[in-house]
Amino acid sequence: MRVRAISKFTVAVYKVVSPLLLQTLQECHISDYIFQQGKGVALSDSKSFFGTPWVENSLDTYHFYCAPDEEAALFETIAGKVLWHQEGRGSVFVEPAILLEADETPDNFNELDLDFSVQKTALMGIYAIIQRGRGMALARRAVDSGSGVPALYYGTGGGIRDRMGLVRITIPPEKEMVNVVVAEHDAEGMMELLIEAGRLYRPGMGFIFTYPVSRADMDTKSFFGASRAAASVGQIVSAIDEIKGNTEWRRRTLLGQSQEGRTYMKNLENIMIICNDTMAKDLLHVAMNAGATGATISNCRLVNMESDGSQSKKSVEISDMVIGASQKRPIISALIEAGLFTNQMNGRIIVKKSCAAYTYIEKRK
Amino acid sequence: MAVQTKKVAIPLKQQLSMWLPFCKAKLAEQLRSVLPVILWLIFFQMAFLRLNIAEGGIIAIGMTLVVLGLAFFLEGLLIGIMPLGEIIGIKLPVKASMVTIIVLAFILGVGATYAEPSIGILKASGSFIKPWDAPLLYLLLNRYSWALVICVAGGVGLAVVAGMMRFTYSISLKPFIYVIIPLLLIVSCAGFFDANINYLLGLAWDCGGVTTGPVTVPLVLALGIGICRSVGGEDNGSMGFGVVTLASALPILTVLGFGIYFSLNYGILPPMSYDEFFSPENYEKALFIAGSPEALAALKSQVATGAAATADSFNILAIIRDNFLSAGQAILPLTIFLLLAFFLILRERLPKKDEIICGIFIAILGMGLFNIGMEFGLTKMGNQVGRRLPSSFKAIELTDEIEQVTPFIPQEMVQKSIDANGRVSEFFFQKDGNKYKGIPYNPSHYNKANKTYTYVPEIGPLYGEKEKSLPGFAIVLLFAFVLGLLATLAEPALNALGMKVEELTVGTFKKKTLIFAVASGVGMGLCLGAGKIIWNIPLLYMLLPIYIILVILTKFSDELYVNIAWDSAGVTTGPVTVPLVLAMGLGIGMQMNVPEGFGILTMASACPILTVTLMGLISNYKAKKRLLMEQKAGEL
Repeated sequence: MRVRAISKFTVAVYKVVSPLLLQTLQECHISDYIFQQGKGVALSDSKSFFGTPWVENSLDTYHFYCAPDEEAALFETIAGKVLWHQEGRGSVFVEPAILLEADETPDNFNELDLDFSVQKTALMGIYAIIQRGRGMALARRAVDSGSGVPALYYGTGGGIRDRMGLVRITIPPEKEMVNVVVAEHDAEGMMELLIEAGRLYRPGMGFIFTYPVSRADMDTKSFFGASRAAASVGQIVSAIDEIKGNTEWRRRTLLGQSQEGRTYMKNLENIMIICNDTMAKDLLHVAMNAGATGATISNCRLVNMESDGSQSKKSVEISDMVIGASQKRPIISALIEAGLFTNQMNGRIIVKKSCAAYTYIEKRK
Repeated sequence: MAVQTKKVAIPLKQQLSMWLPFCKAKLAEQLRSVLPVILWLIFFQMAFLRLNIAEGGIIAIGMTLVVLGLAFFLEGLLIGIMPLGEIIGIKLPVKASMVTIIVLAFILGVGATYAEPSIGILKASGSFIKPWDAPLLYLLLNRYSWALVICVAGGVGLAVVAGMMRFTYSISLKPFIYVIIPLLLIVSCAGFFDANINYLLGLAWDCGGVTTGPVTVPLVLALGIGICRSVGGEDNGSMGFGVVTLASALPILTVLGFGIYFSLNYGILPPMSYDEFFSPENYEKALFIAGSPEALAALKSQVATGAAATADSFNILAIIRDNFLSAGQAILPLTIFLLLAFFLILRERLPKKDEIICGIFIAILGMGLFNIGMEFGLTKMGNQVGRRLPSSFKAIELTDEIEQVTPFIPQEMVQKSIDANGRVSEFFFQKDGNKYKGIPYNPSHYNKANKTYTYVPEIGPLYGEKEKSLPGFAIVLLFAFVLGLLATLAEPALNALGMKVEELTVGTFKKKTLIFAVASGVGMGLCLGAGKIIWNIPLLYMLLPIYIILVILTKFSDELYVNIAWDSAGVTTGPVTVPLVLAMGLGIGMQMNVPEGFGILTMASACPILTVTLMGLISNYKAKKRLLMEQKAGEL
């Protein structure tokens, strides 16, 4: 088993841009990536058949990682060569993380250093997990607030539901995930906005958390159609960013205000388990026995690119769970014990920091 | 790996509070999908045909059962049958060899055809075929119907094999379409010039759509999605769809091939008149078609006495038993076969075992309830409308409303009338409320002993001055269009397809959009099909242009849209649409005296391909335009 610090990249691009991205990845010697199908939400000036101005485009999402010292170079290549520093092509963001993967060395787990030393970052990602079908409500609010194109994904929830009897079929396990990246000073306001939009303060509505993002180039093209001004708002914003040298001037106090003084859960960590298809549920149960409360599982594809251009593809599941920092060690050691690194599972774990999280918690009487 | 988990016990009261809203939501969903077609049938019968609904009580019970049945069946599909197919699809390519997959797929395809006895549907739509009108068709539907089933089963088996291999090797669906469809059209064109094969065309093309039933489609779909997931074949965009297309197309080829082989080698009589058919020089060949001298004699006498009487026995217990048996027959053998394959070949623990088993039983329960409901409700209703539908363009007899007049004294009541050509006919007046209506008098219907005159009331033509005028036909076409549109909304297999499409495209391709496109296609198709029967247009004249356009559109479409569009063709002709379409087709066909009423279902499955492909092309064009504009701006 090997543990190392990595920079985890998430690139979400429109279908027309995908080939260029893959070519660039190959040139940068990124040998494997995880593909996830998502969609981006934007406004359009022409109404669709059903009378809404909202358009949904497929977003091809690629997850991969590199060593932290290569982060800056890789980021610049992708933002420049693939996204052309321009809106309407896609987004890229990078998170600091720790990777655990199989290796020849024995699993001497206890001596390993799993602690984070993440500094305060200027950017913040917000990830909301809600019931399938409610994602658009959050995504629209995010677009309306001018924070760019949110990305939506589909997944299946697991947790307490799996421990019930057959009555569990009355609870739909299908989940939808919404991801946006904003400036750190906007994060809390945006989170409040999304909590309100998704009514996450009610029981059973969903879960939302923020995570640090070290670098990002987010797509701000949230309007398709004839431009009504000499420059789009996105272009103006990025021009001012460039002049001012930061995004601090964009701080908005009225983005979303907490009225009830919600208490956020702090000191959390986000564990991403990548394993062979159909194995995620078993691993989730292992993690739950060790203290986890639940996870969202999405179906993705692991692609290995050989140097000769050939590819080998495999269906994998990504299980995403947010846990308390103190639960990290028992859960990970339980997962390894259950055979995460064996050939049957082909697993790896990515541990990321989570700053704040919110969900409805029943008040104790 | 078996992980022990602690079970969470939920108190009964709380369980109840979870089940109730769940069931309510599911029922409401199905009610919303079935209600439009029910309302249309009632509205059409009362407003356009100006008739009351007979047996309203039973029909209402039937409709309730249809809603209940659909809700159960769809839920059973979603939690039982489809996950089972998907799990096997995911695991199979990892553990089993290609040969095993091929053998399994073939057995699955053949078994699916036997499990869902759609041949009954075809027999029903061919029930008024006269052996002398279309000898080969008659032979294949009656004496050699077993051979027809083998042909169809073989076709579906091959299709499933081809489909699974396609996923394993990531081959696009397009080449299959480019080869199979032109081949079908060429064979059909060649068959067009042979009188016997010409009549077979409708049957063969209908076989394609009908064979893929409400259990087969979701199962094969799920299996395909699983295999695609496992081998990562999503790159070409097929995502596991496309098997249904092949399963609809290949049986056409096998049935036509068999028909041609049969007519070449067995010297089948060409279509001829009744007298020729029973003439002594054709005795040998006619005997071959009928099977035995007794059957031949029965055929001969059938015409003299009119149509064969249908026994209308009403035994509720027998109906319930038969329907649950057929539901079990459609679902159990296939699922048991798959479960066996899972345990014997994969030797693994079945995930979500309780859900899957429960789902299979819910599906059987739902299908049984649905079948009973169809028999009592929707089909009855459809038959009522179907039988009376021709009254919009011609006079028809209302055989189930026979009236008797007593005491009737012919000498006093019967009067004479004359028409422009000098033909004299007899009639009498009957007072009905405040109106006096003239009724033609036929002496043979008068019973002297009890002074009773029995007559069958006639209605129509309700629209247009003369018989068979355009306004009357227009009403029929309107009925067909709306019927197709609304019946499609309730199709369970289409719902399942729509859900899978929405899930795999993360909602960029909505279930609602797909169902709407398919439904309007089915409406168009039924319109064309009804037109085919009314004006007796050869099927080929309609198929040829549509399929040529389809092949061309396929060339320019995205792989995903091609797969979904062609698949929706096989999916649409399901358990809700088919009985209604048949009722309509039989109703019109019998009144127009056409030799066979096949081909409507084919049209109902061809047109949705057109609408879905077009929709795909339009939405793709819009999306590409949006995104490419940005691209160009960047390149400048």
